[in-house]
Amino acid sequence: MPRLTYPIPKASEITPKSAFLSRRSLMAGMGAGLGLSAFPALGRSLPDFTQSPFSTSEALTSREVATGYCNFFEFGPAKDDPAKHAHALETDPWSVTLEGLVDRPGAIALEDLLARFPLEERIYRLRCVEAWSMVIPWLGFPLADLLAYAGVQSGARYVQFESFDDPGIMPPAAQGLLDWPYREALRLDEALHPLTILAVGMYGAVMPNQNGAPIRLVVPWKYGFKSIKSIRRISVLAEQPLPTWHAKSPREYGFYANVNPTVRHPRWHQATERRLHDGGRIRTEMFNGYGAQVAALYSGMDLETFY
Amino acid sequence: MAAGKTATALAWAFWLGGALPGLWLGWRYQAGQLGVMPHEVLLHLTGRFALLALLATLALGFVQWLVTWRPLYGARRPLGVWTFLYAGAHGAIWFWLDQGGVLEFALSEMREMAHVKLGLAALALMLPLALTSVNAAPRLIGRGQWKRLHLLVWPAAAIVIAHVWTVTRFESRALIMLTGVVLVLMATRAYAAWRAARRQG
Repeated sequence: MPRLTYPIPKASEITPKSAFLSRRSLMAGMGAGLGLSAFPALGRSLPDFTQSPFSTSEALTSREVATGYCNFFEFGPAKDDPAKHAHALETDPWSVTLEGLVDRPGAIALEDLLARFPLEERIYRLRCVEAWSMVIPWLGFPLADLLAYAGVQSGARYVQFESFDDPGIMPPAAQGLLDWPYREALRLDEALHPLTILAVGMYGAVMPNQNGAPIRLVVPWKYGFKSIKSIRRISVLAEQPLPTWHAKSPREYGFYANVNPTVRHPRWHQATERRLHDGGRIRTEMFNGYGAQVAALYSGMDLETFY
Repeated sequence: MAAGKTATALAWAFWLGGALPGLWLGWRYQAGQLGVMPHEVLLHLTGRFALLALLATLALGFVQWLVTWRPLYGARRPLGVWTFLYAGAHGAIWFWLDQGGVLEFALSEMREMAHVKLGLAALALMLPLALTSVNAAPRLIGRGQWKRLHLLVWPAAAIVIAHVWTVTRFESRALIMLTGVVLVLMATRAYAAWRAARRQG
């Protein structure tokens, strides 16, 4: 059916400069193929990357949807808030502080991370606790690589992540929404699992701010809120820490938050999910379909109790 | 007579005016101007329009109670019917677009999710009100019965508020204000009924 529209002003009058510059850099990335070069508009470049055997062959969610429909509550509660407000986050320079039970505590610059750890493209399903899902090509490296570099000491059992802490750049709607800065955590064996990555890009390009630039966690068998964005601090701990959502509403957001269609949630039905690129609803798989790789982590655990 | 004409004109204005949000939404949808997830915008906005129409319907009695202006009663039926139509559209969009039109998925949510149960209960309570909004209805079932039947709008409103609370993730000032407004409207309605009963008795 043809679409009816009002006369629309010239694109240059309505598209913000940042938007068309990032589109251009995306196209440049496509042209360059695997050998991704500089993205001057985004202020940072990514090294070459390889493909991962962990990737799914499912159809990708469009970049438009993945960057326009985001939960990044530091920039507001609406799905389009992060795309509108996350530009306020200054991602260059950026460093991640390692602390706690590690042999090499201290700050490590993003450039050093990129130089040290080879990047892979990982096409993962992402399942949000809000019962929607996407398929996203991330660029990143295993968190286990960083932890090996940091030198995890004996007695360590958990890894905690902390997002940026700068209420000054948050829009009013985000002030006080949660107990900032956002914190998430994994058990050490989950953190060391080969599927767990730190991502610095998506769709062949530098991570957009609204998706957690410059570096974020991706844990594909857990609900999306575990995959914390814009990480500033990683702490290796002996005791189980209290993640932000879990502290706010423990009945709704468990520490484990493994994707599980049989464990009920008071707010969203977890048996099915909306696949956002075609709008269709599909059944949710146990561990988001990664059971073959991760189920052994939880053998003997009652997943109804440890949800 | 003049008052009757004013009421008719007002009724027409509300019949036509009530269609505007729907037309605006339909236009934006077909033009591809509802963002990256248009189905979700349709779902949320039809719900919001139904809520606003319901609030306006309830507030009408309160306004009459404060400043009696008889022609304003002409707005009551269109506002009530639009409330039901937007709520019905909200439910239909939930089934066809959110649940993908898969009966098994929808039934499973109806069994398990509080917000779905509440929403459907409110819609079920509003259905007899919409059906008896034709001129013949009060005569057919009796004026007193008709009035009693239409008191169902109050339990429906209470259920709608509960529905909105269950789908809201962050407590907001708007939600608390909305709840307060409905409670005040309920209280004034109950007080007016109590006064009327005392005057008669």
